[in-house]
Amino acid sequence: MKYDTVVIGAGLGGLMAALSAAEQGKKTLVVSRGMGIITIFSGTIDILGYYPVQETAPLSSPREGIERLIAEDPNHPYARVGVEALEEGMAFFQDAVAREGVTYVGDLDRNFLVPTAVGTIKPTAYLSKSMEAGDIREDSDVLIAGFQGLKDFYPTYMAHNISTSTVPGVSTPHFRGRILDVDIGSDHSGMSALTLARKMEDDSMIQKVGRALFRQVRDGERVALPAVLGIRSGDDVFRRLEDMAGTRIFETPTLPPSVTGYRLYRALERRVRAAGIRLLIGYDVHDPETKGKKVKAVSIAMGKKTKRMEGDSFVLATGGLVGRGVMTDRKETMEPIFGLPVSGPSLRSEWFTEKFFDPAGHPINKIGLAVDDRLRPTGDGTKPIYENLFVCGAQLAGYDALREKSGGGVTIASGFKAGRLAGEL
Amino acid sequence: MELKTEVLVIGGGVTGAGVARDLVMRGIDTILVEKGDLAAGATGRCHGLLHSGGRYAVKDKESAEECIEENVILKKIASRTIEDTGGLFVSLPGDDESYVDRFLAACDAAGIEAQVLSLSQALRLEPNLSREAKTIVRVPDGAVDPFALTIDNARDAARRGCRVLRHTKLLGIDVAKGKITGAEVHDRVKDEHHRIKAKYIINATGAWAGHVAGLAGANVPLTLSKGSLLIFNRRINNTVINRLRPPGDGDIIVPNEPTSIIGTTSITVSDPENFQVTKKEVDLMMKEAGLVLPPSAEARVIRAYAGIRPLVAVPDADSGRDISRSFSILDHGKLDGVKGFYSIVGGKLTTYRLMAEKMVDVISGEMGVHISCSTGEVALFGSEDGEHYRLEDKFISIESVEDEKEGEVEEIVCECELVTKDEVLKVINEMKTSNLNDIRQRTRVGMGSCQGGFCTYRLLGILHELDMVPQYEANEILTSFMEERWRGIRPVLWGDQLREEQLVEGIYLGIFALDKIQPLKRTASKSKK
Repeated sequence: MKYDTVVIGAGLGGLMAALSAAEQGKKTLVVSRGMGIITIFSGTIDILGYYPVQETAPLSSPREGIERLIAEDPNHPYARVGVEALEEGMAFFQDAVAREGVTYVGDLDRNFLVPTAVGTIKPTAYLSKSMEAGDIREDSDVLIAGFQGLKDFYPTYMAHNISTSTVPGVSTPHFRGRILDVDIGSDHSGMSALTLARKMEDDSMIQKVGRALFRQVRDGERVALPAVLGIRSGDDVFRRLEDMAGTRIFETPTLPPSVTGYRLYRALERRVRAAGIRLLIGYDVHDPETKGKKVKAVSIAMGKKTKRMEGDSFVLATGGLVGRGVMTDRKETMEPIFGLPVSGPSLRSEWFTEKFFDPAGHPINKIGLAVDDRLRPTGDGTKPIYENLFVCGAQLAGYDALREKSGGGVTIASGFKAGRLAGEL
Repeated sequence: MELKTEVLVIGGGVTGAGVARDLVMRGIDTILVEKGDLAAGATGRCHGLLHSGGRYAVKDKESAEECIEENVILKKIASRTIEDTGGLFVSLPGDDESYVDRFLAACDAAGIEAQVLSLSQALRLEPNLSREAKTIVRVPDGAVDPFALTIDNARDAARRGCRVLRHTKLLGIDVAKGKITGAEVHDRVKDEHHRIKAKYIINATGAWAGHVAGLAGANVPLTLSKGSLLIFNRRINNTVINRLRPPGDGDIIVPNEPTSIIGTTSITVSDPENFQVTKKEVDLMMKEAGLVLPPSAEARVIRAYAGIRPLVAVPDADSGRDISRSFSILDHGKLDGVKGFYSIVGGKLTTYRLMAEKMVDVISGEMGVHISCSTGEVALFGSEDGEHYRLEDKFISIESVEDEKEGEVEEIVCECELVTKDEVLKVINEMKTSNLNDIRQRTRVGMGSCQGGFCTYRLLGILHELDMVPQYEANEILTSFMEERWRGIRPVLWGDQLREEQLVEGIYLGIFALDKIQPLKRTASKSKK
C-alpha cells in the first residue's frame, strides 16, 4: 500500500505528527505496537519546569527558560525545534483536542503550580481545564475529597504533606482531607480510578457525588478530587459536577493507569480518525526498505500476516526506553527498526549515578537519536542518514524529560514539526 | 531503665537467635539485643541455601558431615521455613572430570545421599537445564527462608521468656576486674537508654564482631568476605543447582519464593557497612548462570545484593574462599582476660543450630547448668506440624480467605508478590510497627519484580490512614526507601528491567514530583540519630 506519510508510533508524538502531515493534505498512515506512555502519566503538558535541572525553584516563565536553554545547549531538542514551532505546535494541539471536547489551558509564559497526590508541588504549563483550579497561588482553601474503597488516593496523606511543601515566594492555602459520604459500589478488593471514572459518566453517580460535595464543602473552598472525571466524554463530567457541587473542582492524578492521560489519548485518537488518517494499532514494524538516503517502505506484521507500506516520507516516533524506540541489553544500546546509531553513554557503568534522586539526573535519560535542525537522524555526524525520515518525541537525544519537566513540550513540538516537514516532501 | 539477666546475647541474626533459644530452653535467663531488625546482617543477605554438604565434601569432610546432619534436623524442626526442593550437582563440558569421582566418593564418606541421574531424568525435574550437561548428581539440598528461620527462633525464645530487643544498639560493655558486669544499650525507637546487668555476654554480631569485642577490650580477628547475588524475576529452576566442579564463583542457583537467586562471589572487603555489587560480578554471574540454565540469559534480574561473610582470620588467606567455613567459639576470658565474654563467629546458615549448641554447651559448663541441648528435638514455634513450605500455598491461602468472605476478593497491596491489605494490617497490628522494612520482611511487599516501585506509596497511604506515620514525614520515608532500594536495583538495570525502572522514575519524579522536596527542618533538641 502506498501513502504520502507513514508515521511509526501512535503515542503523543506520533499522533501529533500524523495530524500535522494530514493538515497539509497528505495521505497519512499511523502504525504502532501500542499507544505510548501518555496513558501512564498525568496528562499534563510540561514545557519546561526547571532550568538548570538542579534548581530547586521552578521557572516562572517556560519561554524565558527555553530561550536561555537554547542559547546554552544547542544540542537540546528545543534548539532543534525552535520556539516558533513550539508555539505553533501547542496551539495546534489545543485546537485538535478542543474539537473533541477536551479543553487544555495554559501558555508558554507561565507555569501552573499544582499539588500532587503525595502533597508535593509540581510546575506544569498546560493542563486539562479539569485541573486548572488546582493552582496553589489562588487564595481559596482546598477540600481534598476521597472515596471509601478507591485505591491509591489518600486525602489525609496529601493534606498533611502539602503543608510542608514550599515554593519560594509562594504561600500555600490550607488543605484538609475528607472521605466523602458516598457509596461508589466498591467491593472488598478496592476500586481503581479507571473503573470509578467510567462509573462517573453515569448521571446518577454525578448527582450523588455532586450532592455529597455540596454538603461537605465550606464557603470559599475549592475541591481536589482524584482523577476520576470520566474518560469518554471529554470535559463533560467535570463541568456537570462543578455545577452540582457549586464550587470549583480540580482533578489530582495518582498511580497509573492515568485517567487524565486516557481522556487525552481518546480525544487525540478521535481527532486522528476524524482527519481521515489510517490508524493501525497492534502491529510490529520491521525490515525497512531503503535506497541510499531514502526510506522507501517498511513492513508491518500482526502475527503471521505481513504487509508492505510504501511512503514518500516517514516519521519515527517509537518512544524512548519505555516505548522500546531505544533498546538496551547488558552490553549495548540500539534503535531496533532502522538500526540508527544511538547517542549517549554506551557503557552500562555510565548510565546511572549513585542516588536515585540525583539532582543532576542520570546520563541514560538523555540517550536517544541525534538529529539535525530538520529532525533527521544524523548519528554522530552532521549529515542526515536518511533524508526523508523524521524523528520526534522521547526518542530524541540530549534531554532529560523528567528532571527538566519538559516531556510533553518536546514531544508535541517535535511531533508537530516532524509532521510538517514530512508533509512538505 | 535497668534490666537484669544471666546472659546477654548481642546480635539478632540466625546465630544470635539460635543461641537465645537454646539458652532459654536450658532455663537460662536471656536478653537478646539487635541494633536493627532481625536478620539484618549476613543472615538476611545470604543465598537461602540449606546445604546437603555436597559442596564441601571433597575439601572439608567435617564441614560436610555437619551440614548433612543439620540438614535433616532443620527439615524436621524448622519445617515451615524450608522448601524441600532437592538439589542437583551438574558438570558441563570443560569442568574438571576427575572431580566427579572424588565428589561421589566424598559424599558417600560423609553420609550424603548422592544419586547419579541421566540427562532425561534430570530434564524432567529441570526443563531449563542445559542439554550440554555431562554428569548430574541428585542431593538433598533445600531452600530456606533466612528471615523466617531467624524470626521463628526469636519468637520461640520469646515465648519461653527471652526478652528480644530490636532496634536496640550496644553502646558499651562494662568490665570490672577482668569480669563482665553488663552493658549499656540505646533503644533507637523510644530513644531510651538501658543498663543491662549480666555476668555473661555472647557476641554473635557477625561482621561487627571485631568492633563489639573491642568495646570489651577484647579482640576478634576477622576477614570480611563479600558475596554478591542476583535475583531473577521468576523461577528458572525447581531444585538447587550447583556446579559439579571445585567450588568457584557463580556456582549456585537457588529457587526462592517466585524467583531464582544466582550466586556468589568472594571478595575481601574492609568495611561491613560500605560495599556494592560491581558490574564485573554481575557479568560473571550472568555468564555462569547462562551456561547451566540457558534461559536465564534472557531472564530479568530485579535486584543485586551482597552479604558480608565474617570469617575468623587465618594469616595469608587472600580471597577468603579457602578459609574453613566452620565456625569458631572464642573464650575471651582465656584469650584476652575478659571473663564471661564469648564470641561466636563464622559458620553458615545451615549449621546455625549446631553452632548455637556448642556455644551454649560452653557457657552452661561455666555456669554449672547441667541441662543438655534439645533444640534439635523440639520443633520451632510455627513448624509443629512438620509441613514444609510450598510455593503454591500462597494461592491456596488467598483462595481460602475468599471462601470465608463469600466470594469477595482481597485488596492486593503488592501486585508483584500478591500481598493482601489484610496481611499487611496483621503485621502492623502484631508488631505495632510503621517501619517499612519490618513490614517488607514479614510479608514480601516490595520484593517482587518492581521492587516496591508501586506498592510503597500504597503502604504509606495505609499507614497514614491508621495515623501511624509521624505527621509530615511520609515523603521522607518514601524517598529514603527509594534510595535504599536503588542500591539493589542499579547494578541490574538493562533491557526490560531498565524499562520498568523508567516507569518507576516517571511515577516518583513525574506524577509525584518527589525530586524537589527539601529535607524537613528539625529542632536541635531531640536528635533522632
